[in-house]
Amino acid sequence: MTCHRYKHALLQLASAGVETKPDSKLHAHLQTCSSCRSAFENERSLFASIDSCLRSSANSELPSSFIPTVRARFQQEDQHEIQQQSSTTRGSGRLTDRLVWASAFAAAAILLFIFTRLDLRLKPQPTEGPLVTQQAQSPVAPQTTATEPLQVADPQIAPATRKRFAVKTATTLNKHSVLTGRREPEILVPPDQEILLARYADRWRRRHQSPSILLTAMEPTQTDPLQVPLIQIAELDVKPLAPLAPDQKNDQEYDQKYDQK
Amino acid sequence: MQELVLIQPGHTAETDLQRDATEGALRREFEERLAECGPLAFRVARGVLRNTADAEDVAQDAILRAYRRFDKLRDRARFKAWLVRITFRLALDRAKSSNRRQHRETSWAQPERKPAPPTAEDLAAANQFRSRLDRAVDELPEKQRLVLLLSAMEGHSLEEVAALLNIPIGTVKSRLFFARKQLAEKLR
Repeated sequence: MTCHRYKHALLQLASAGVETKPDSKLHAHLQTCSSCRSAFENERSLFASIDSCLRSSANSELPSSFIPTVRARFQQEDQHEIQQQSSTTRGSGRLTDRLVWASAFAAAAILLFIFTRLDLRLKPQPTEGPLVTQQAQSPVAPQTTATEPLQVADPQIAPATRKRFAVKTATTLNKHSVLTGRREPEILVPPDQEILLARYADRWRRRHQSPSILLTAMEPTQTDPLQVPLIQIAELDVKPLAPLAPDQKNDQEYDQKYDQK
Repeated sequence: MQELVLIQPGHTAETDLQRDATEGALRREFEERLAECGPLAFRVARGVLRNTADAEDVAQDAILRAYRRFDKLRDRARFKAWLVRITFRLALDRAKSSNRRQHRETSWAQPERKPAPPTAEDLAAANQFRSRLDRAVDELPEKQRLVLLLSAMEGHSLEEVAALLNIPIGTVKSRLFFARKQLAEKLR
């Protein structure tokens, strides 16, 4: 049996510890082979030092403050849990209160809105101005006199076109009614010119950004007969402005001949 | 005079009392186990970290974590192994983080740090062997390392280590043998 064949057995024996006895063959080889014996002793001392180092580090003394510190941390942990539970309960209570208050406010707002709408519907609407769509009796607007200034009114358009021009007339003419100081101004319009007048008034307002002359209230002094100063025009001197056409030349020659005669 | 008791909505006084009694029993049981397993947790952490202050801190964290989840442990007889595993994992994490921190703090100052060649005086020093052994233990696989650590503790036979780790005794023996063999190869 060579030393190489004992190598693994020697390693196992050395790592097993001092108490382990080698078997008879290995023991006999160790008695005869000095190199294997020295190698075995080295291995055994190496493993012994490893074990002693491991034991010394693994069996270190427990500090005396270890258990009291752990118990103190337990108590801190318990107090922390109690605080967390109480804060969670309080927080949930606050949240519930907030939700109740928010829903109450929302319900109150909805009810207020509904009652407001109902009130508006039940309230009698102010009667609209006299309709002028039925102007067939007098197709021409009555002439204004000096004592009866032109009255301004909401253009009462035929029902078919009423919706289309309602907004426009409301935005244009109602402003003028404020200017004139009347609450329900009126305009007498022939039935076939209602739309045209509404458009004209709107364009006029847009262009001049001022109330139409038709829609402004006229002061009593403005209703006096118009006094226009006399205009003196000098004698007119008519001259041709462009060269004459061939026909006109013939005419001119004829005139000259006639004059000579 | 009538005695009034404040009760939370959805709870009754009896259920609260029962719950308090259960928690108290759990607390007492855990404290009894703490006196038995506290030193073990500390030694496991000390064996991994080789620093008393860090080991104490890690063992306390492990015990606190076990305390929080003690009511969820189904087999109370396995508490010791459970605590050992928690402590071992926490200690390994702490060792890794401290190694990373140390490497980060020293790498900028010594970019090309090479280990100094061992001299005769160094080899003769008593702590040289220990430092080499510590490095070799750190390089062991975790399973072998835990078996080596537990078997090195006083009062732990191989059967106890096997019972603690819930593995066969043959597995404990093989892991221990290969761990010591690797250590010896690195220390030779």
